[in-house]
Amino acid sequence: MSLLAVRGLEVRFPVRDGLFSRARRFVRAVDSIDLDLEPGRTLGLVGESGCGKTTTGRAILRLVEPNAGRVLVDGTDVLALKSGDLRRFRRHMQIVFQDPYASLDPRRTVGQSVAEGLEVHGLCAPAERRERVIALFDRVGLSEAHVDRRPHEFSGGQRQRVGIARALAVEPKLLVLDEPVSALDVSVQAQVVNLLEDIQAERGLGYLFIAHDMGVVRHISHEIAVMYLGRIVERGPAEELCREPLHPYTKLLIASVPSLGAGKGMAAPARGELPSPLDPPAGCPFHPRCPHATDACRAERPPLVDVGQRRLVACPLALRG
Amino acid sequence: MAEALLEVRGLSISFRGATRWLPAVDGLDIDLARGQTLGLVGESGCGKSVTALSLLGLLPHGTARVEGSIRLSGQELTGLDERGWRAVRGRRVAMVFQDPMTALNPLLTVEAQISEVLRLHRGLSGKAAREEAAAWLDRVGIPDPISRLKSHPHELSGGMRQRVLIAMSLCARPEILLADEPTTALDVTIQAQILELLADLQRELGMAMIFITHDLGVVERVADRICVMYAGKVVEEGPSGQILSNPCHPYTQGLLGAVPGFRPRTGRLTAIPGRVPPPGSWPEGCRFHPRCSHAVPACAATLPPLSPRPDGCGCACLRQGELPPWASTEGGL
Repeated sequence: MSLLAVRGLEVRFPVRDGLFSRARRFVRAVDSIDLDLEPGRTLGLVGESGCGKTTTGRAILRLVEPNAGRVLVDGTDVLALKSGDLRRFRRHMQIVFQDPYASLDPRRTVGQSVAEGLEVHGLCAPAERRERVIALFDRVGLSEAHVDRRPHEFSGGQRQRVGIARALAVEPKLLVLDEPVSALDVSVQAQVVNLLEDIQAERGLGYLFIAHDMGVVRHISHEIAVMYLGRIVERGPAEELCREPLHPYTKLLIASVPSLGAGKGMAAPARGELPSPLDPPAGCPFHPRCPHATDACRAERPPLVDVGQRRLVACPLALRG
Repeated sequence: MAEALLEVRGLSISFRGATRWLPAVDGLDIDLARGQTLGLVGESGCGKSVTALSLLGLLPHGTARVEGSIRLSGQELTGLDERGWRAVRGRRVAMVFQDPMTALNPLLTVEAQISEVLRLHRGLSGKAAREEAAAWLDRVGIPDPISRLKSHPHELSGGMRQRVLIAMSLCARPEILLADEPTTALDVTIQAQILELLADLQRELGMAMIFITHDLGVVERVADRICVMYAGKVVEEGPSGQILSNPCHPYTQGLLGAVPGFRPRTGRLTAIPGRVPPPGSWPEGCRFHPRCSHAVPACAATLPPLSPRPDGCGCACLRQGELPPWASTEGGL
C-alpha cells in the first residue's frame, strides 16, 4: 500500500480587492493535483516561488484546509478526520520548515521544543523524555550539551538539525520537507542532505521533498513532480526525468541550474517570469514563456497524460516528440 | 595581464569586541583588471561581504578597523575622509546587494531612486533624468519602463526589484561593480536571466566585477578568476577553469564535493564537517585544519602562506603536492 496518495487536491484562497470588501475572486493555489509516494522513498516537488508547492505540502498535513480532493496517508483519509483524530494522527505525518529561525520558539530551550511532541502524544513516560531527546539529538549530530540551549545560540545548520529532531521525535511515517536546505550554505546543505538520506535508510520514512533547486532535488529524490501555477506539468522517475525532460518548463528549470563543468557563459535563459496566479493565462499556463507555443496551447489547457514508463506530462507537443 | 584597475594589498579588517579587536579579514591581496570578473567564494562568515563593504568605505568608523592598501587606478582609498569616499562610492565603485527588498527604499518610487543616482553622479535632473531612468529600466529588461517609473518596490517581483537595483548601480557607469550574492534570493530561471544581464552590461560598459557567492555553479558561469576565502584568508586562487577542474586545497575540494550540481546521483555528497569559526576563535595554524580530513600535526602549528601551484595558481596548504589529485579521488565532475 502506498504511504501517500493525493487525488484531485485543490486549495483556493479568497482575494479581497480592498480591506473591507467581500472576497469575490479566488486564487487556485493548488489546482487538482495527484501525487503518490511509497514508504522509504522520496518524492521531489519542484517549481518556482509562487507555484503552490508549499501550499501543497501544508494542505496534505491540513495546516491549510484543502477545498477539494482526497489525501490518504498510510490508508487513512486525512481530510475526513475530525479535529481530535486529526491531532492524534499528526504523529504519523510531520513537517520540517525552510526557515529554522522562524519555526522554533525562541523562548523555550530546543530540548523542550523537541520533547513537546513526545508529551502531546504521550509517547513515553515523563521520566524517560530527556533520555529520548538526547538520543534524538545524538542521531541528528548534536550533543547532550545542546539540549538546554535556546534557538538563538545555534547556527542555521544546527537549527535545521533541531527541526529534524523535532519532527522525528514522534516517529512519523511521512515527512514533508519544505525547502529544508535552501537557507543553508552549500557545505552545511550537504551535511543535512546526507543526514536526511541516512535517516530514511534507517527508518524507512517517506519524504515529500519540496524545493526549487533542481540539483538538490535530483540528488535526493526517487521520483520528481514539477509544478507550475498550481498544477503538475510533469511527473516521473527522477533520473529519467532529469536526463530527458519532456515538458518545456522542466527543460527550462534544468537549463537554468548553474551546473559545474559547463564553463563560463550562459545557458539560454527563458523570457519572462511566473505569471500572477490571480490572473493565470488562458490555455496552457506556461504558453507565454514557452518557445514552442502554438495557437492550440493558447486555447486549451493540456491534461497530464501518461506516456508510459511511469512518466506523465501535460504538453501535447512533448507527446508528438 | 592588463593594467590593474584595483590593487588590494594586505587588507586586514577587524571589529571592536568586548575586550579586543576581532579580526574578520586577514592580509587579503586582490588584483582586478578592467573588464575582468573576480569570483570571491566561501561560506557565510568567511569575510567576503566585509571585504566588499571595505572597498566602498562603508564599514563604521570606531567599531571597524581597516588596514592595508586599496588602490583604485593608482589612487589610495584607505584613509579617505567621508567626502573623498563620496566621490568613489556609487560613482566609481558600485554595489548590488543580495536582498533587493531591503536595499530599495520602500517609500520612494523607482524613478525617485534612480534619479537620485543620476543627479548625484551625472548631474542630470528633471526631464533628462526621467528619460535616462526610463532608458535604464528598458536596458535591464523591465517591460513598459515609462509606467514602471511610478511603481514602488512592493509592486515589483523579486527579479524585477533586482533589475531595478542593477539599473541604479550601473546608471552612474561605475568602473567596478561589487555584486554580493545578487541572485541567491531569486528562482533559478530568474537567476539565469540576471546573470546573463550582468554579463551583457559588463561587456557593454567595460566594467570590472567582483562577484561574491557561495554557489560554485554560479561562480563558474561568471568569473574569470576565483579567490576562495576561509576565515579571513585566501586559501586558493587562480583562473576559474583551473581552480574548479583541479582544486588543490582541501577546502575548495570540500566545497566542490558538497554541490549536488546537476549530474546523476553519485552516492553521498562530501559534506565538510563543522562550520566556519567565528572571528575571535580562529584556531592556531591552518584555520581549516580542525575540519580537514587531510590534516597532520604540522597543520595545527603553522599558518601556511599562499604558495604557487605547478600551474601558477596559488594554494595555501602545507600538504600541497602530497595530497591525491582531485579527479582520481572524487571521480571528476
